[in-house]
Amino acid sequence: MNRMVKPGTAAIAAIVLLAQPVIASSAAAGPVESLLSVNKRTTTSTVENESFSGALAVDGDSTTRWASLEGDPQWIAVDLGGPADISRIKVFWESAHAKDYQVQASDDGQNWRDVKTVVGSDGGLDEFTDLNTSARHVRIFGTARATVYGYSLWELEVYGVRTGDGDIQPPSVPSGLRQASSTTESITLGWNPASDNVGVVEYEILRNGNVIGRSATTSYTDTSLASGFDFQYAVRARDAAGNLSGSTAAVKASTRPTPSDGIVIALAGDIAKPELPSEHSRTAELVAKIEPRYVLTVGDNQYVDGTIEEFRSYYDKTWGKFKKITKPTPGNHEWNNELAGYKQYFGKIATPKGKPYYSFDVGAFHFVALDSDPVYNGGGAEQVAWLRKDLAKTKKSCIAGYWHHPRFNSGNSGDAKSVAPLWNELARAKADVVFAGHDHHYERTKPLDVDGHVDEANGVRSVIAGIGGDSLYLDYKAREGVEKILGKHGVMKLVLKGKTYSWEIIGTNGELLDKAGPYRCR
Amino acid sequence: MKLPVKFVVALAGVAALAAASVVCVVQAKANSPERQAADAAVAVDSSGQVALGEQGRLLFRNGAPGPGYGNVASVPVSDPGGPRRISSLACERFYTAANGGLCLAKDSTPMAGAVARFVDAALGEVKRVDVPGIPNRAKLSPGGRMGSWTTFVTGDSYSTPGTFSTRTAIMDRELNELSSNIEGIPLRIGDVPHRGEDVNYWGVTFASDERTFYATVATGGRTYLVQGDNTAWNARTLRENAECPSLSPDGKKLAFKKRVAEGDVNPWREHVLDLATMRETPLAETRSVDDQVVWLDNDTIGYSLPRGDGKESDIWAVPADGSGAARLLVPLASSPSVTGGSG
Repeated sequence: MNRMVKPGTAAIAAIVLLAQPVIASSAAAGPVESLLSVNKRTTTSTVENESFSGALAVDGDSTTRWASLEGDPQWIAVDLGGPADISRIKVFWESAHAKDYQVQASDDGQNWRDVKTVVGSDGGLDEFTDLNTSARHVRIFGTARATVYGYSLWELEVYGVRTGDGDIQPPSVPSGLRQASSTTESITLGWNPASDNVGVVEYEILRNGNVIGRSATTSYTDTSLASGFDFQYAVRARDAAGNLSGSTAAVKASTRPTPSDGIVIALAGDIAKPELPSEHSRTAELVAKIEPRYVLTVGDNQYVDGTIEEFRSYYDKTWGKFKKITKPTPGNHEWNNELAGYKQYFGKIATPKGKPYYSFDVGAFHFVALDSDPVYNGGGAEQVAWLRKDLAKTKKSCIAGYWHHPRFNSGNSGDAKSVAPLWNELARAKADVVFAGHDHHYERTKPLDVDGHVDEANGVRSVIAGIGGDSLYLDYKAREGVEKILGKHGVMKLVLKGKTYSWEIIGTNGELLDKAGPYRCR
Repeated sequence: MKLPVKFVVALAGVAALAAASVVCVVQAKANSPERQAADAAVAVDSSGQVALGEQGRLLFRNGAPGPGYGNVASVPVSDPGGPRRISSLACERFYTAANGGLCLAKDSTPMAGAVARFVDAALGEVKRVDVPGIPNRAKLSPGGRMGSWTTFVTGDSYSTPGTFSTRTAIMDRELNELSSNIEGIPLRIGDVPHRGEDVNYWGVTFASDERTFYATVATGGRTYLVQGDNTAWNARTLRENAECPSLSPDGKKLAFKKRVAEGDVNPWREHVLDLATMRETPLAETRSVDDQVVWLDNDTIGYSLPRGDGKESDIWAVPADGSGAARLLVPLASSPSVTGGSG
């Protein structure tokens, strides 16, 4: 049992898991082990629902998973397609992992023998080496769960050498992988063909360790990438029998940077969760890449209670790098601590005029940074009065507001009528856009009126960007007016140019998740 | 983001959650009963359509095996055991008021989902809302303007073990305003503003003013009867241990289920609460009713009760004043409501 990762460091660990070069099974000359299980047929005891099928545990994508229903035992089996000498098995658990389970092997998929018995697994990556067992089928048989949920597996990988009749020889590893060309949003790769005793039918392309596409030719164009980012690519070949070559060594490729003549601002909320340090660490890396003039946060900067100890232990180590250029707002989690930790951590930045709400100007834009929690809970009259005065005073052409609780929301919490006093002041001032967090997804709408209905001429755009690092919530149902909605971790790159604004949502793997605008201020 | 911490219950599955009477019961669907041969004992009236504008009809979800299983059906209130008219509208829960209906159905999308359909008198869809979760409750206000429904949801994240939750929505048809999750409503427990991370609502019933509602709220391991105002957008608790309220047509009484035993064995006893005196009266039905009951008139409560094996249920009635005895109204049926002046 080799626990390599902590729960929640899924994506990072997965890169480690999948990017490891395929190695020879022994120092002696002999058949080279390869990954036998990828995209092979699976069977399972149960699935939680159609979105968590067994195939997702052998698809080479460690962001998708198999999940069973609750109850014991539960199992997932993979048919390697033919007999093999199995040398190595990797089991990469989601946080709902098995506590006790058996790794089993079978020649016929009916009669199983235990290869390994695991008691008290701590989840993460369990790797079993030097197995030296012959079988066609491998099964992970869970007998006790670590949580009240079912069993949930990001990836199951079986390595070995095929021994059966027919074509058991994998193709050679492709060579000469290179970046052929690139744009600000795409990268085209090229490589030399692999050879095979029968014939290569396709190549699988891996970006940062995950299969992202397939190609029947020796080139591939990867699209929807953030500009100015580096990526690691590898390629492997597959033959008609399903034999998979080893992967090429990873090759770095980059999108072209976008020349920016505007003012760049980074924005996200719902950031530093102690149990998920890798996610806000990765979103902070995005902020660094974006090189913003300011960083705006839409609340729940620090979980669970936003105490000073929590801020120092987590937020400060990642997003804290940008503290001097940060213009934060607090969320309900900071309010768990009555904003004490929040105010102490950010100091004057959080309360420039003594209150946790304030305003400032950038170029042609007037920003209002609000503290929505008291309003959400039925109070906050003093803040609303201040907001009305503040908006009445500004001479700026463009007005943007940001706070934690969204007024209009396709996510878990739905529309929040109690936040109407804030939204309505922005609407009265003919504001252009409001950014919020609280629900852990991203969405943007057409301009909405005070009742949440589309009003292209006189409405205010509503954006939720609660994707800064806390666990995502994917049970959204797009409400009226939604133009784009997705559930991935990332950061908004907001660009102000004169009296126009636009933004991109950049995912933690460097994908360009959304492009909005440019919009002209009204 | 509020933690999706709701009920801390370790259960064998979502189906078990429903069956375990944490909230009002979900009708368990047997093995494709719609594919079974029609039950010869259940007479079908093919002479007319299910029409919500027709007075004196008892509407329900048909539970008789055969092609119309799970569909909205009706019988005369005066002859509830008589032949039933069966529509083609499939719902897990259905409720009629003011010549319209609200149908909470399973959705066919891959993710566990539901759809709330507002329908006209001919059961034609006039408004559709996609809803996450598993259908549980649906009710209209007496005037038909306000609709509310409850679903079971399980978070997509496994980061908080042992938690399940409900999602309750209120739709104002007149303003075309959807509050898809009413957990954000400012809440007072007694007179104290409550800032709970774990609040959870289910089982809404609206008054005839089309803004006052009653519901169940759970927080801190306790359940309360709550009175809310959908216009002022605030709510306060009235008392503990009164779930799935249902307001009488005259607006003076609430029928509710009271927990009388811990655990899952017969935990409920249906009561009626007089809102003026806050005095409660146990009803003559002594079996455990896990439903949001309806008022068939100002004196009579209707509800569904599962049969012994739990797979099928029947609609029963009992006097609302604690007298008399329960009587069977419609066999193989659930989710009752009546047309014509009743809420």
